Amino acid sequence: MIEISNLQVKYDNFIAVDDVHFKVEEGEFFTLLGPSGCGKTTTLRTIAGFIQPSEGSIAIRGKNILKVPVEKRDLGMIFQSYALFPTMSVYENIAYGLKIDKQSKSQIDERVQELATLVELNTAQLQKNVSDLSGGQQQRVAIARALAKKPKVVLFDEPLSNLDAKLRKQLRAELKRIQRETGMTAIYVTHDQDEALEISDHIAIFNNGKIDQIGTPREIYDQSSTEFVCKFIGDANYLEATLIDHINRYLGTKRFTVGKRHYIREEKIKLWSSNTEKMIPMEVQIIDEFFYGTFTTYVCKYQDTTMRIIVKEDGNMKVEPGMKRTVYIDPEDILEYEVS
Amino acid sequence: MNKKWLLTLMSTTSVLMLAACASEGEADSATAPESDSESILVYSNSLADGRQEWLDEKATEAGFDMQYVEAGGGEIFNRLLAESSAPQADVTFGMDEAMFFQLNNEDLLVQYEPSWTNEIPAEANIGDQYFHPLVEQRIFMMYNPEFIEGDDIPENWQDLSKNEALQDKYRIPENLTSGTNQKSILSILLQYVDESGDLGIAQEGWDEVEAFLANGYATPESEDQLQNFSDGTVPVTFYFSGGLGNAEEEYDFTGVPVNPDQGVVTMREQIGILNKGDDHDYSKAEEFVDWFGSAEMQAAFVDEFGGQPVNEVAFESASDRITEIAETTTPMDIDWNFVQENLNSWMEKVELELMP
Amino acid sequence: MKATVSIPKKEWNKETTFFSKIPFYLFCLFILWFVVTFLLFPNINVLRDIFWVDGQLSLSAFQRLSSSSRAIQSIINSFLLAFVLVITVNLVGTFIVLVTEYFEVKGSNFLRIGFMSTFVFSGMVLNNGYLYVYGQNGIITKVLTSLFPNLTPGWFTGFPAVLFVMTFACTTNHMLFLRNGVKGLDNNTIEAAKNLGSSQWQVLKDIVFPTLFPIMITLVIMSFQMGLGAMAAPIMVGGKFETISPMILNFTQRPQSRDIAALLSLILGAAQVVLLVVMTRNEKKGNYMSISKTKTRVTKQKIGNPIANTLVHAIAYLLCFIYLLPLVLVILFSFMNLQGISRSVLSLEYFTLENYQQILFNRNSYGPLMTSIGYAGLAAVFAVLFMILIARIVMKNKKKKIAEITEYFFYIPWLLPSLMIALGLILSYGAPSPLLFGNSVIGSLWILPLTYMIMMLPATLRYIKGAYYSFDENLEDASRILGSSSIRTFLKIILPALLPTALALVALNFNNFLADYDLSAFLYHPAYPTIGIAIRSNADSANNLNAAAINLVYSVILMIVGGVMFYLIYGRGSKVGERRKKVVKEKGILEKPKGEN
Repeated sequence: MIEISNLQVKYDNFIAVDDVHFKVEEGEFFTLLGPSGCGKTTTLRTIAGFIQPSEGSIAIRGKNILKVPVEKRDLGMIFQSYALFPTMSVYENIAYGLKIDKQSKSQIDERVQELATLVELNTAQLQKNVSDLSGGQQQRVAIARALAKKPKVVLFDEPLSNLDAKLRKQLRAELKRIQRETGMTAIYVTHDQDEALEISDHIAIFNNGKIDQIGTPREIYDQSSTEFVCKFIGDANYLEATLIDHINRYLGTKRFTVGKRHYIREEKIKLWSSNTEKMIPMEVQIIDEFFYGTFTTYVCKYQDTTMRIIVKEDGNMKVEPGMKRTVYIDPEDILEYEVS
Repeated sequence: MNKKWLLTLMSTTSVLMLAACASEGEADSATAPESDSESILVYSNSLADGRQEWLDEKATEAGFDMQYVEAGGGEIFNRLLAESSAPQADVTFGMDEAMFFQLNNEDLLVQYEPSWTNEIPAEANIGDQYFHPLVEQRIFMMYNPEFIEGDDIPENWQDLSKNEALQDKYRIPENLTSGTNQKSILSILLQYVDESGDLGIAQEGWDEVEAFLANGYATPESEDQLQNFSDGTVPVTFYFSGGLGNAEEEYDFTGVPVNPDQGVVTMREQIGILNKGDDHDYSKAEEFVDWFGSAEMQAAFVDEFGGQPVNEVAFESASDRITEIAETTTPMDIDWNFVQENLNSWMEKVELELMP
Repeated sequence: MKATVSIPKKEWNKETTFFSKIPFYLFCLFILWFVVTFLLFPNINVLRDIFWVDGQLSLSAFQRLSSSSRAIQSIINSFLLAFVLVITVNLVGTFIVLVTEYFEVKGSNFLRIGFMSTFVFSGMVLNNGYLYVYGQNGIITKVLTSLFPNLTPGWFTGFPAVLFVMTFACTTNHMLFLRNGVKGLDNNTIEAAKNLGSSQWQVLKDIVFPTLFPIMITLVIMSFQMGLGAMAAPIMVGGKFETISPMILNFTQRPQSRDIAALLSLILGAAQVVLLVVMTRNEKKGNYMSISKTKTRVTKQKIGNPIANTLVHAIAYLLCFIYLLPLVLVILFSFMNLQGISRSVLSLEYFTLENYQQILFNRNSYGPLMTSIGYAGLAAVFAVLFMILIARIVMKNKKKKIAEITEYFFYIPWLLPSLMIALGLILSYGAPSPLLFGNSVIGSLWILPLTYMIMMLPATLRYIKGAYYSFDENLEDASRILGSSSIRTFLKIILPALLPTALALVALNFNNFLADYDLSAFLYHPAYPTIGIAIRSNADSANNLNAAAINLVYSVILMIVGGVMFYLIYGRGSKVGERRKKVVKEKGILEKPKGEN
């Protein structure tokens, strides 16, 4: 559907995006994830046509669109600031693109109604001025406006970051529903890893203008290919050399190289183990406890390694701060990275 | 972003096209009257207060097609100078000798001998046929006899600053942009002509002007000098003959003009034809000058608007009050050529250095 | 971390086709032509004409000026006025904005009308009005002299009088910009501060003023500029307190003294440019000159302390009285005959309708009025359109030196008095010139509106730039990606967003030049005299003793025309831009002047 290859964007001497490749399939929800300033928004704006790359190509359905001006690219875009036209009503905002296409009044009417239903805006709201709507409603308008012309690809530039947590969650689900209902192809930029994991079919993790890893949310999470990805996605405990020594000793091999960097995800550390053959036990000191309702986090210490452990609450753990306790690690779960 | 530049520029071009079309249309209509050689364009500072309407009516009757530019004397003068590369006006009248001398120096006038030249006193005809006098104005100091009497009555301008009793009781010019105001300074300076002095004036003359300005009363914008004169707040002022009659009537006073030994500054409003090149047809402009300067027209003009015609045949139509002033004052002997050479420098010096 | 380096989002774009370059260069060419033809060449010419005497540079103006204590004093006076005015104008301006928009003051709608009267009541007319109140025969003067018999009737003169008049005359910008700033305050921050136990004064001091600080810096600079350029007040009430601008005008009118005028003007201009640079720096940090955009409206604060409350009410109404009294008197005196006017006595005995009859029934009065409306209107519209485009280029290319330089060219008209700019045009284009495609300006109809337009450019550019700062660039992107062409985006999105500011500027520019005389006298076409010329012709005090009455009537008529214009293009016009803002809370400044009419 859309293929980005060898993309590079340069500002004077600063390379904002470098050597970026990815492919988005028809109907797929593809997320560019990374911290701010990593090049993800630049990449999105380059796809949109607001920025001209210094190298590389962008092809939609096999056709290179680099020479196609913004307005002819047939894309939809949703902005962080919504960018609704303040001088137009909600209706006019949604109908704007359709009017440009010189559709008939009745066609426009029909399409706007359809979109309003899709994004759950009522008729009264359509006649309002955009500034009279709440943030969540404004973003619905922005989505409707972007979808109006049934673009080949819809670009999302951190669309939910201006909303509060609860609304964000709700709209995330809505987005997923809208994507399912419309079958749109979406490229979505965010710095929120939860959002990315929840909503995406595939995620590309950006780091310093380059992509570190592309994969399904599960792949990214379970098999983070770089230390950066591992640290950026989910929460991971860094394991100090003393602990790696302990594990190597227990295994009787040099399976993990001291000097490389090792992590383990919080939920992979177990308080109990039936499979003692595979699981490596170690004595830790419990330091603190945080109760979250559906789960509990314990902070524990093995020599100089501090780890957080997530445990599903089942009311029978007998673990309290101050006590010593044996915990278990499956060596398969240890992630090992070269020092970068 | 260039895309945006593109948009910018396209919209601009369209705007400019519009503007260009609009201005072109305007330009066409603007040049129309000029191409019509039959119409006469008059620049004058003497068209205010109904004069233009009056003149227009009479001129139309006489078969002239007129157009006017009217503004203050200084503005008309500046405009004529600025347009020297392409004079627009056919005829100008109303400014004084000094200004006409300067216009002539800039080669802006053409010679013409009007049919009424013989009716002008020879001594008044100083323009070498480049310009000709129409109306005479005397600019004189006057006092209000209700408030000034005996020894306080000034005999000359210099007496004003020397009399303690007149401190802040006589009017001084608040600026030097108007002709009448300038003449008050000239009335003093011209008594001290000295080739070796600064700008042709002896130091004593400058000192007198400074003292004159330092001890008098400059009328603020908020006050009316004639009102002040009438109610005695400032019972000594200076005025011009043409306007005195109306002012006395309106403000209910009778001013007494002071006639110093050297006489009073007498200026004559002139008329001249603008130099529009050798191949220009001046016949219409000449016809207008002949008509407007004629005894009949001048008599009618002063009859309507006051003033004293220079034309001897029309002289009698001046009002009694003006005739009276003409009789009680004597014109000062002024070398206008000398004045016009130095006038601007004098005024600048006064403004920069002598005004308090 | 390297990745946090902020990236200028989009200043880097290559042309995609050669075609798109052509119009771009054409436009650049146009700007170049305009700058050279109307801003550089004529002004260089006029300066050369002034300072080059007999083929060599003459700097005697420096010497003549420096030996004139009067001129030096006027320069000192101008700066003194500017410094003091900054304090007084900002105090009064801030107060009137707070009482109309921030505090709950009874009758604030009425107060607002009073405080906004300076939009149409300004310049000489305003000063004249103040003289009816505080002048020799003024109403207040009469009251004061009866209380203090020792007071001289002419007490209202000099520096204090100028300062007083200008303090109240120069708050227009506060009512435009600061008012909008106050309305744009985040109500939550105020509530939060109160919640934390701040008193009302502390809220003002810790929350409101710091938020408004940048706007106030801009206003400080603007009031300083007004003080420096003071013209009407020193002429009318200054007495011996003389300032630069009237002197410049005076010297400009005498050809031989123009070098002095130019020199004084350059001194003034240099100060203007320094201030401009400071202000531009300040602006780069954000948008402080927005006249349009308002967010949630601040809930008006009731003043808790009853004494303070009474005091604020009393001062507010006192100020409103000061603002309105001169205006009312100008209107009333326009119905008095000469005796009444010259003695400053309002009485039924002197009542007359003749003043109005003389003008309203004179058909010759209407042509010039129409001409002036046309000239000032055309010039205002084109100046605003043109500067919208220039500002756009400047804002899009903030980093490019050439754009920055281009911007400064458009501030040139601030450096020279208007008459000299007109003179430059005539000197340069008195004969058909290739720069004007074989046209000459002398005797043309368009030279006068063109000169008006040139004079309007600097201020217009400054305000339009302010408006651009509040423009969300994403709007443009959003439009483009929806398939809108560049032109359509400009016309449908950018222009409407700027419309309220643009219309406000059209109205302001229009009012500034409606009654122009100085430029008119120099440039008007014989067939189309302007209203300024007509006023002088009817109200020349040397020829017409009834001049004062006629002037008053014209003042009132011009105020009405100005008021109507404000209503039509600023009040109502802005509703076109914001027509769907039905909710009352969204009503902005732009709909307010309506109340004035």
